[in-house]
Amino acid sequence: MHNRLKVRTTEAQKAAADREKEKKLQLYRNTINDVFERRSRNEYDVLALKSSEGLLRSNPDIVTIWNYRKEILLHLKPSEEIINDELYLTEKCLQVNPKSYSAWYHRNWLLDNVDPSPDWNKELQLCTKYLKIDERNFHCWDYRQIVASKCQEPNENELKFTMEMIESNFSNYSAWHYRSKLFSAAGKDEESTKISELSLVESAAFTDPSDQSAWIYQRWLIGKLEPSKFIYKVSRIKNKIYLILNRKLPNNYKIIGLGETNWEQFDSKIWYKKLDNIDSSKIQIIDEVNQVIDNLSIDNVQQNIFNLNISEQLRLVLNGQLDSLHQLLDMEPESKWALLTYVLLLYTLKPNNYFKNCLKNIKLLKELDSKRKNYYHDLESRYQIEHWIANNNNNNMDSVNLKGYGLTAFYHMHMFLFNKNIDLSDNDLSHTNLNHLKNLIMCEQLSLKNCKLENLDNFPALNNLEVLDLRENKIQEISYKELTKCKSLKKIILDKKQIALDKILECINQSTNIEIL
Amino acid sequence: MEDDLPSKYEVIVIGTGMTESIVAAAASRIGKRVLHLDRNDYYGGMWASFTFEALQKWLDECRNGKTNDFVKTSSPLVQDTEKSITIGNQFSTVFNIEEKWFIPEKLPSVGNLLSAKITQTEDSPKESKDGLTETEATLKQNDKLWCQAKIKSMGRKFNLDLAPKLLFSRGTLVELLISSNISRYAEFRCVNRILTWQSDKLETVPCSRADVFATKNVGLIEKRQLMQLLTLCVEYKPESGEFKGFEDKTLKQYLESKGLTENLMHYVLYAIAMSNDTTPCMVGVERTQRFLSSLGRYGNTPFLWPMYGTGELPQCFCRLCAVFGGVYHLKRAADSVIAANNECKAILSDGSRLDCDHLVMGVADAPPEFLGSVPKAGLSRGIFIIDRSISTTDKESLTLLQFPIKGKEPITVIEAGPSTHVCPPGLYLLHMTTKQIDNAVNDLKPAVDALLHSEYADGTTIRINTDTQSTQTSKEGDSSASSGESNILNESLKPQILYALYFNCPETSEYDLSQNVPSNVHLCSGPDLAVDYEFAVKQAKSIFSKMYPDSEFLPRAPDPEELSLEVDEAAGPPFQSSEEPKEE
Repeated sequence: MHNRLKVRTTEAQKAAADREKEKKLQLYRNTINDVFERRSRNEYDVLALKSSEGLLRSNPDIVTIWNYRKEILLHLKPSEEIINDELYLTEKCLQVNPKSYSAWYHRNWLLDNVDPSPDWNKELQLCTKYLKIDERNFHCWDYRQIVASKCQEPNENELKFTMEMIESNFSNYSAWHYRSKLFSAAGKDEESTKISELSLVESAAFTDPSDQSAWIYQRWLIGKLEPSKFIYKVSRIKNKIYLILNRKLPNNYKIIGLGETNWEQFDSKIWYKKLDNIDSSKIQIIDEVNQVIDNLSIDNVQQNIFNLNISEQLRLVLNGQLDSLHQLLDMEPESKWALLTYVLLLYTLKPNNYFKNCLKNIKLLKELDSKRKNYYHDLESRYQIEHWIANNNNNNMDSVNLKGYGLTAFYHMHMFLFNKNIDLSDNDLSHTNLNHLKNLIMCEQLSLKNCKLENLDNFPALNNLEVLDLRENKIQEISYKELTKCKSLKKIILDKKQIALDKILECINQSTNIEIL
Repeated sequence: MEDDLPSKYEVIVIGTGMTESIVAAAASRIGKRVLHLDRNDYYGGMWASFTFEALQKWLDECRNGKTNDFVKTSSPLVQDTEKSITIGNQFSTVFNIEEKWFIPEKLPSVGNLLSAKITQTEDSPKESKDGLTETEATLKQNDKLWCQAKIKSMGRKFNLDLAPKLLFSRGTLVELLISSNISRYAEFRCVNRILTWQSDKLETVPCSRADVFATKNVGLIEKRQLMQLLTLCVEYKPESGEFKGFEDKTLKQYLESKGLTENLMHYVLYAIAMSNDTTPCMVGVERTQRFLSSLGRYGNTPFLWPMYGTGELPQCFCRLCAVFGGVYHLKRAADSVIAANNECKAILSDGSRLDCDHLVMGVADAPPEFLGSVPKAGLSRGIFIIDRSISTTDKESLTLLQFPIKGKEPITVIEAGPSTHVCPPGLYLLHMTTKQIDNAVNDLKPAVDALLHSEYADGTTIRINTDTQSTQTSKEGDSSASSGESNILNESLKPQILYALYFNCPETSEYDLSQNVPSNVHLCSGPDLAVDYEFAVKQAKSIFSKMYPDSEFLPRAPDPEELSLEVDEAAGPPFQSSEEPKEE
């Protein structure tokens, strides 16, 4: 038969492909050498620009070559045509590798530094086009943020765009994240926005409770809520006044009251000043327009320090969400994200019996999601400590008793600054950084009995500490030397199993007594 | 009459319908000598797509009956031991043809229009705001009015399908197009909307995860219920006991046992499971699985629609057949089959005897004695040219609607717009298909009455402009407020039928086509009732495996760059590029 079609055998194909590959490789090597030589000869012309084009089109991630192009472009004062060619090149490179850091960066750099009249609107359209092809390309989402701010695209339009993307597939962290950025940029946290966003998240949760992206956005929405108060406690110690806050003070906020000397920062949440003539017994926190945000009298303790600032309207919506989460959990009892969000919301809203309920569900979470059980342990520790503080804020109490709460982490230790007798025994502090205890500056007696401690690394210098109970731990002898930092330490209590006494004694101050019980 | 067609083939295929074309391609692909004939001057037979003119021509032929003016061939071509069986035309008979225009032949001239305007209602624009003169405004208005002449003048922009069908994104046809590499001959669009008809209105069915998330038609709990049910069906394996006790029951009974709301029941039963009240549970589950497994491959619905109409698809297979050496002859009818000892030896066509090992033919061409009893089943078809979508949104949609009819098979409604190149801009094409009970007009009446405005439009009044109109479905919220008012509004929002064509044709998918045929003759059904191509592909595969049980069915065809031409050295001097071709 004439001119019959013949399919090439696979072996012939393979050999042809191999030959092709070898040829390409040789070409690639030659070109890259050529480009580097040109650079070493300081060639900054159009020819040099052309020489590396093919190289980048086959491999857009050679940063050095992009840098060489930058040098050339800055040197050339290029025409519009060259700029357009360069833009086209990045476009082609992004088709080869849509996630090329260097190609995205080069494009941005070019428009910022070389192009005299960059068309940012066109860029925005380009981003839209790219994102329609690959909705989760975070490079493009990042670039879009830059572009949208350059062409001053109204936030509403960008919100609309993210909404379109979310509607076509809500499993898209980048789109949700961009929404959070847009809302933050808008400044005011509009209550109504928050409410409508929450209902969006709810819809995603019910459609697919196992998809994290919307849940994480919801945590951002709820996490934006802040406690209504700043000041926990103001108290005198010797000739100083200490101010304990529940969170870091924003930069433009100021503390006023109690004399003229300035407040100094001891820690982000602890401030102090010398005791001088007190003009009033009140301390105030004011914002940038001198509005009083919070105030407290000296020697007082703020009640409900962990309660959040939630408007009635939002509280209503959140209560509704709590109900629907309850329903969702009825249908999907093993949905980790639903359960966790339920716990977070319970703790935020603090309805009756919330605490017991939270603990019960955290226990469930530890079983359901055992890979993250340490996270849940820490969460529980925070709740336990906050709960204890909220229920024991008697100002005159010298001792703190957090014995046997199963704590795995120390939270809010700075709130125990004034306490002399602190019992943290029967907890699990094996993985915790003891450095968190550094704010217990007035503490005289500290019990870390049965806390599964294996060493005393980073044990802080507690200058008032006199008695330290370390029974029922498995601490390496060598780490006792950390305790030499505590200058007033008089007594360490150990049990019979823990003694390699001579070794310990080698480590610590000779004046310290070791008592064995 | 003598012609230059070679006279011996391994396979002769008569008719270029879907099944015939797939078999022709498969045979040619494994190196068989194939002759493919079609009596018509177009491809596809009852699977064809027509321009408006071609449709008119086809209708004329149907009305007048095709003239089988062949002369009985005299004996020299038929041996004594052989029998000549005349090829028939029985089932190409399309009947109950009803064609109707709803618009005037021509638009009134500008002058007439002006006088007509005086009689219009008060709120019609007397003065145009943008400073156009009255006449200019009228001319502009005329652009939005339709008349028969205008439609006919755009006739070439139509691709009107006789057998509109969709492809499941993971259905056998899509897999076949990909595995055989035939997909490069065709282009597709995703159906982007599944509608349903519930409580006298159209609703968009949330069928994908994204739809469920975005829909406002169902509540939160319903969203979860729906997703749970769909996940259950997708992951269903016979070992799991989920449907235990429902093997003899209907899908509807199963859904009721799950405590679904009426709303969800409707979506699942009629749209997603594509079933009705009597569909057995396991059949429904299987359909739901098929629907869901096709989701998300190319879009948010499970379906693809061929650009330029469904008539493209048989042609794709014909093209592959030709690439591998198949011989094509359109406008060439086969006159009779020559058989001996219950075996087909050859066919007679246009005075030639063409020998073959296998004969494949569409039912439309089969001799009456091959068919035995006359199949009774039929399809009721409607083709409507309309002036807007049945449910307008800001973007053009490609829509599937299974219009439920109580106690009967649903009416399958497919709506395609200009971007799929089946109609000119500004118009939509609506296809309706259902099982024939009475005749096409009566069978399709419920859907036509519900969806379309079928009063005659005199062409002088402009109806509500839909350019900025939101969807009907989004109006549900306030429908309770003033239902009377919204009914009137809905009525005026319905698309106007400009042109309607109804016809009935036979449906032979249930019919045993192998009963009365010689062992090497294989009959192919015409278009079936189902919305997809599963039946045609299955039939083609089974015919092919009967013919060539040991050969692969449509293995991947090589891309052009993988091919090299094997030139026969003895064939003559190779072409010299330096020589100028000489004119004779």
